Amino acid sequence: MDIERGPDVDLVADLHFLPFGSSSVDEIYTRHLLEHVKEPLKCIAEMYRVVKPGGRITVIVPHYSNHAYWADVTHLRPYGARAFEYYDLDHARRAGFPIYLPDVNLRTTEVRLTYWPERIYRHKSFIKRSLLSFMDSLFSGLANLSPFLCERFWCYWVGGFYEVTFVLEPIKNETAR
Amino acid sequence: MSKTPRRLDIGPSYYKAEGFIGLDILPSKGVNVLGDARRMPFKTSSIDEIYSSYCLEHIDDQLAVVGEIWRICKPGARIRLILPHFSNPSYFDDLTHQRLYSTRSFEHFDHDMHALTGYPDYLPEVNIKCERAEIRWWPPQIIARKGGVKRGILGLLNFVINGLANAHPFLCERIWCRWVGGFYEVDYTLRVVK
Repeated sequence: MDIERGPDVDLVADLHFLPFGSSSVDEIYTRHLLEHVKEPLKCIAEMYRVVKPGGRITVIVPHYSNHAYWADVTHLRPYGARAFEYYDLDHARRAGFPIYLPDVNLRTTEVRLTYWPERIYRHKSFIKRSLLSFMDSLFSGLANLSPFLCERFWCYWVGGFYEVTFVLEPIKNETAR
Repeated sequence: MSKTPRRLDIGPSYYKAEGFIGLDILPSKGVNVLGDARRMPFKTSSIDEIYSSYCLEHIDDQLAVVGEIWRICKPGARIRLILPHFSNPSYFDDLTHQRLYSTRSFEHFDHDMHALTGYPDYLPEVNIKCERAEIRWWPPQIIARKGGVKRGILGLLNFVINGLANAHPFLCERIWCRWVGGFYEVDYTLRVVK
């Protein structure tokens, strides 16, 4: 699904108004899209609405330290590793966050920082590929021991991280809580 | 039949480039035409050259401005833009700023790049080539205002750091631009293709 036609596009639609019934989709995968939308809250609420309880939403977005984020003038916002904690009702209440979307409850099951995604260096020469793969494993590995520590102290020391991956699970009334 | 070239300075405020028409949304000394860069009061293919220094980062709708710049320019017209780099240390001091830039911010409007990189084509009719994108650690005009010793030290550092950065802008932006406290600006030369 995309907002405009393309070779891999099956359905043209807007993420702010998903043309699907509530709890009708098993899984959503979205890569480098949420940094382009005008109203991310509305899109998050829509994704929550259409995914079945126990389903999965994978969101990949540029990290705020990503240098390439600034190479696209249509980008509206980069993300931090804790960006989805606001939509986990239990967590938000405990942490004293404002509840922006009272009807949405998304549990973050995984957060991953990526220093240099494999798809970007896949086509490079053997030496470059090996070096970048080593740097990626090392820095991503260290960062994911504690994304907070990485963001708070050292993400810029290594030139920034390309992206954050969030895996989210919608919690709905139908499921036992 | 030779006509004098029409050259436009977008957002000059007080510092209009010599020999340019000054278009700005606010009246001030260097402004000849009051207007909005998102809907420019100029005919299609009527401008020979554009200069704009620290203006586009104040505008919300970037695609509208890029589209308008392309529309009013003659084929082959030269555009020079100076904009804050994403590692700029004083960007957040101006609350009206809307965005930051990297050396590759205008590659999305080059038709040849779409085939190469698979970038989405945000403005299908627009074709702009980026001929030069240079990053600057400290703008020389700011260093020039400083006293003797400071001017000497900053001038030397600026020369060395800019030399290293522009030898490989990608490496600088990817790895080390923040190690030296960030770079102030990117200076682009773009060319309109019609």
